[in-house]
Amino acid sequence: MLKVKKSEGLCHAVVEGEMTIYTAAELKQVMSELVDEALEVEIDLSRVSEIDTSGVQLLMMIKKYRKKSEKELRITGQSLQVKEALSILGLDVYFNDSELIPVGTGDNHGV
Amino acid sequence: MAFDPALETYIAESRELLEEMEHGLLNLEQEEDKIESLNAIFRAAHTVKGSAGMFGLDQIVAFTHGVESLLDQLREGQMDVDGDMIEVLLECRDHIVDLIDQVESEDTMESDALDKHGALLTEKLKLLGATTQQDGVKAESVQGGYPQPSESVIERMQSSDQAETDNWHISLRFGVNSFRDGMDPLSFVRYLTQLGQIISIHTLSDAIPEVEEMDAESCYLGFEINFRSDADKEAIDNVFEFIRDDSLIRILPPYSVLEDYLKHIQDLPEEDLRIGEILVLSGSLTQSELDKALKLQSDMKEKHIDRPLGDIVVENSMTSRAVLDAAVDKQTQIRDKKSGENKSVRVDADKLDHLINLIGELVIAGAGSSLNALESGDSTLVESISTLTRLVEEVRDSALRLRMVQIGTTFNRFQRVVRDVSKELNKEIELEISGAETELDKTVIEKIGDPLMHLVRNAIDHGIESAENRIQCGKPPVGRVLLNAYHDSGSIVIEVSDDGAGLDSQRILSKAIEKGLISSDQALDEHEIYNLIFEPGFSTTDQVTNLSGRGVGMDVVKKNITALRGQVDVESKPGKGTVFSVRMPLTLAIIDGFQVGVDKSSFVVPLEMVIECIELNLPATADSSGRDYIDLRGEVLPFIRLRDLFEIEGRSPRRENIVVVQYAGQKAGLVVDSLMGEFQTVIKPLGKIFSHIRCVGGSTILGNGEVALILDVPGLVEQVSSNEFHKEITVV
Repeated sequence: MLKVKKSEGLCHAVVEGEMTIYTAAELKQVMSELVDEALEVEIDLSRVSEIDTSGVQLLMMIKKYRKKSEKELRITGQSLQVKEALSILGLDVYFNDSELIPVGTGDNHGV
Repeated sequence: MAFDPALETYIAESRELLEEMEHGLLNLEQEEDKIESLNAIFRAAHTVKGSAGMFGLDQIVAFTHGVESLLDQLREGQMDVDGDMIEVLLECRDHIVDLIDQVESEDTMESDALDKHGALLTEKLKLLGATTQQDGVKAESVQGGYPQPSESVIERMQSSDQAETDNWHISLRFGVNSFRDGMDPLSFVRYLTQLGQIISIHTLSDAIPEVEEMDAESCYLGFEINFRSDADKEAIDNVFEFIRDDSLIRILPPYSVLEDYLKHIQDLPEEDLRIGEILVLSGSLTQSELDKALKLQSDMKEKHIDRPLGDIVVENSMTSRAVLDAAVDKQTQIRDKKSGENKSVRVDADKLDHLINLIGELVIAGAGSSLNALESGDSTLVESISTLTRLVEEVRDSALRLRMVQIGTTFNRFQRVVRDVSKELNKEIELEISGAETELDKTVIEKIGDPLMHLVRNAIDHGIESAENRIQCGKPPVGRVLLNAYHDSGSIVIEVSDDGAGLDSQRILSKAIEKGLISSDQALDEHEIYNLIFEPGFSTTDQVTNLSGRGVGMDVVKKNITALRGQVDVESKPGKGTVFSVRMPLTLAIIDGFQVGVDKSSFVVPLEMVIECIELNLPATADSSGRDYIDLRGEVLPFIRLRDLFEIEGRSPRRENIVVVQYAGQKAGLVVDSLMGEFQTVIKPLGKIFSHIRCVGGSTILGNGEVALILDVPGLVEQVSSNEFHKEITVV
């Protein structure tokens, strides 16, 4: 599930467990709050045990609408499963190229 | 890992396909329309492989690939089918079944053995000339057998208005319900990598609606894929077989003309320019090609050209007319098949059982209400209850019909058995099937399989003689085993007959005496002698083969069939053949009953077996004291008194009734005190301790809550006509 911690101008979210169609509806509830979050948002996906396209879609939703309102979204950690899914769908770059703050290659290996 | 419902469907469907495959292979052997059978077999293997890939069942994909490529060569006529090849293919089919079983049981224990077996079979396939997975994807398209007009590729390259890329371009917009249907786009893309190399992929988030409106379980994503592969269009197209209906799938072959790209761009829901950009980004088009295409678009708009895509395609030497027609045909076929599939729904058998149980309770409750209504004397209530009862009856009938399955599939399974066993025994045997469309309850079908199997094996092993013997007797060398099914007064009759030597009554008799089953002075008619083979401990085979004679005798067959309230009978003519007939009740759950009373007890007779009810003529019985026969319109009708049979005390009333029942062509009378009429009966089986009681088939609960016994008419009829019973009665 999603845990959100806010401190010092940063909103840090950690997703744990599945990001699949079975959890998608629930996750969307909490994740949609991240879209309008005024603070800088970073999501740690290093504890995602399983991800399918619906999970990827949720991430894309946040990214899309944050980008639209010129806000930041960073992915700070990716589990192997996430990494595989994103690379298959050619999204590794999509989540890494940020117009505001470029994210170094080291950052996506997690904390 | 949670068991995926989609995987479950895959397993069920694959099993069906593999059954079709087996059927096809057997047909092939009989040389009935080879091409048609080959196509069917190929389709089955192809679909099993294709869908296995979607679930990442690599083992199945790898193995089936070899099978498929061999089949394809056969289909192309590059090789001729012979017996050995069919043998290997059948083995391969069995192996795939094993692999699928393994997937279902999630059992990895035996995987080593399976692997070895698979490797062995793959070797065999190689010897026969199949290409296997190791030979690479390239082989697929070469052996793929689909039209691959290499000349036209060159021709196209020379034409000017073509894209220069030699990669495919695939655009996918998954249907909104894809996730809910268990179709994960990720798996499709993953599977695509098995056919070739994904040069670039763009996942489009354009369709994701505003956060509030977005449903996380709906799919909004689109994919633009630049794909390098030697596979042909059909192979790539087949990847998306399962989502074709709801999703938008566009596949552009290498060297497509710009017009097609244009059309493609226009077809997609996103803005033309955006798609154009992506095409350039993914390397499918160069910027100049895109510009050219867009110019073409504006030109066409000016000229108001509006031609169907198919025309443009052909005109631009994209595809020959024949190939296009074939594609259209295939689409129609798939559509036809789809609409056929939609007519049936797969339902979990447990759910159905639950429904039948509930309806059983409903029937009992309904009987209670109608009894109460009658007692209340309220005529409007009685009327409404009777409407209700009629509806319950209809519901019951249609619920039971849900469970009805044609026996054909069970019969077809024996084709393989007959083939294998006759090969083993070096006999030539044909299996004929009739009445395959006869329907009966699924639970009955499931349970009847084993006893039938034994009867069929028995017919092949003991029934049919060797070819030499047959020729000597002036019979055709090829033996015949016939499976036949038909409905007969509330039961289904399944006959297993052969045109073999028939039973040797003398040998049976001496064997039975030797085993102490009968005493030597007992006088038995032919029919009774034949039926001795169902006695426990009886086996006439002097020679123990590894088929029958393995300790599982005919007595087990009889026991299994009797346990299902069925009966088995054998008829034989020396030199002509033997007929085993199995009679089974159509259903095991609910029957229409006829309720009768003796003193205060109630009994139920299955209505289908009741022929008529007549009043027992008192003087006539007095005259025929000790002889339980009456003259029924010139016919001799043996009867028994239920009062005597169940030792019910009390005097018979002044007027008794006789219920005439019939089973398997034999009539008998049951003398009862009163007739209470028709009654829907939910059969409750008797406990195990009552299992030895004959004449009673089960119990049921009456509307007033009392228990009534259901009479076992077959058992009764048998008793009435057997001599011993009459002796007992006269003693009592």
